[in-house]
Amino acid sequence: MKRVLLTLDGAFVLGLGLYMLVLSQTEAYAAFMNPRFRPLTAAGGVGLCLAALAFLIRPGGGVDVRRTLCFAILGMLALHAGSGSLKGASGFAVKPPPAARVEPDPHVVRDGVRYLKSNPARLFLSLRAGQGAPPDQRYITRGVVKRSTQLDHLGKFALLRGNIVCCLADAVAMGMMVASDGRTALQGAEWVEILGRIQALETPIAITDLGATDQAPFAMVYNQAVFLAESIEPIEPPRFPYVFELPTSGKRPLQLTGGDEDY
Amino acid sequence: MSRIAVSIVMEAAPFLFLGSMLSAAVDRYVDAGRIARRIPSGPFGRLAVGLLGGMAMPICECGSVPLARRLLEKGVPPLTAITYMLAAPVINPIVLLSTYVAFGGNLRMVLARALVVACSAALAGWFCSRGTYGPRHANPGPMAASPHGNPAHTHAPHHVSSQERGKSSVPDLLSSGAAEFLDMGKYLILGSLASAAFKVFLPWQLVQALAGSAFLSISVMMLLAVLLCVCSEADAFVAAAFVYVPPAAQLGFIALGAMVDLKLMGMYFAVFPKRTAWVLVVVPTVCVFGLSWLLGFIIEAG
Repeated sequence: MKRVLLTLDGAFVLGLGLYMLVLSQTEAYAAFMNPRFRPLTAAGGVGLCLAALAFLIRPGGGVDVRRTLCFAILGMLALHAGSGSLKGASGFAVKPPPAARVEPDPHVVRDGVRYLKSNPARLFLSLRAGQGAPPDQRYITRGVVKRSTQLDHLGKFALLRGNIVCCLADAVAMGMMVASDGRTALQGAEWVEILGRIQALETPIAITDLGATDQAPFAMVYNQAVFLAESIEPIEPPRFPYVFELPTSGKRPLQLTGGDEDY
Repeated sequence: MSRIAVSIVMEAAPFLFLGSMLSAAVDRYVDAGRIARRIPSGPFGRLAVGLLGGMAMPICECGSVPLARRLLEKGVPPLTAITYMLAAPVINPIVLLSTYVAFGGNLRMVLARALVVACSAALAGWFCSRGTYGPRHANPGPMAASPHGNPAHTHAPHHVSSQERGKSSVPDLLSSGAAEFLDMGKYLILGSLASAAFKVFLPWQLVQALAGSAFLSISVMMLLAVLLCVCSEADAFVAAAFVYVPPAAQLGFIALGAMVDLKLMGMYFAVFPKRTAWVLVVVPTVCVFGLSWLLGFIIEAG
């Protein structure tokens, strides 16, 4: 019995190592972790595989049924998690080759007006870092709508995008308060593309009743500015709902990191 | 919920594995007498080694527990080992830099975080040095079994004999590391499950509203740090996103999370005697609350 349990333990560690190694090379990785940590996960996976093989050959230590059960549960959870929130069946396809090093055009021209692409999380972070938006700068941004009692009273809604720093556990939905002319009826939870500009508020407004979204347990809107929407168009949800924005130290502007769904 | 739990394990597993391998390496290659002789005899020297150890050997909070356990067993004084265990995940260049970036170059927040964690770790280390606060399985009997022997205790770390020390092969080292990883991994998995459940079922609207209250914000943000189990490299980015929360509460979040969270609490109670585990939970919590409240005013004034 002891030998069986130790073999199971070794097999579970080997399984975890292989899972980490394989996942780090697939598209689905981004549904769990920030892709910049692929090398770390891959290295951890290789290390665990080697350690597990050594353990299977020369098992050490005592047995613990609860420990074996915990790792079995982890295996089931990994199977259940599948390819995460990534839409489409190719979640476990090998990750696409790195894009050619061409800076994507950060602008879109609509009706002769140039709009700067920026997702709601990036707008949140750049404003919080003290990078004020010029009054004549127009933006195009995509996100999910969230309504709350506080915002309804103000005649506004929140436009959010889930942002992952390290792993899904630290995901926070970040974005802006949006003021519109009210012609577009929004229920909440729908994806929209908004064109408009940012206006600073004279007095900060703390919105504390946003609660959770489908993407993150809590949501934040920048409290010292409002996005004045010029047009709001419903869109299909993006293939991948999260972005991976990191704030800068405030000394230089945030860069557009690329991708069609990046804004 | 399964995705969140799996992502926490995936994030922490490389660091836990690193800590487990270091622990196994210390066990196999480091002589107890030699390491104890190199630690200063005075309390301030011991404290300084513990606090600054993270600068030389930065390691995430999950990895620091198995390593600290092994260091204690090797005769490293609790004042050094416990202080290192609590301080290393924060007082290291990577985490201090990430805090600086997350808070938009706010140096006061970086210094305040380092100060609060250093004080809390030192106080917990001092408490633990005043009694029999060694690791739970410090008696040599059941722990003395080799990886090929018959260890008597299910949770006992896997010690090598003095004959084997320094002569063991790489496969032996890897096997010991795997055994250590299995022991600690159990608590990582349970903590991740609990954290994922809280994320799914907690009334976040209420939590957010309470965090916005000036009176309750520090306590609520500290509670969040315990429940969310966010890694010390990433927690500053999460705290900085709480724009309507006062700096004192943000400081409480980033100072406590690396020392006390659900997965760490499981590890503490498994590795240390109950009394020590309680010290490791209560002392940092009280210390972080008091210091965050105090330093919050200074950060805000800046």
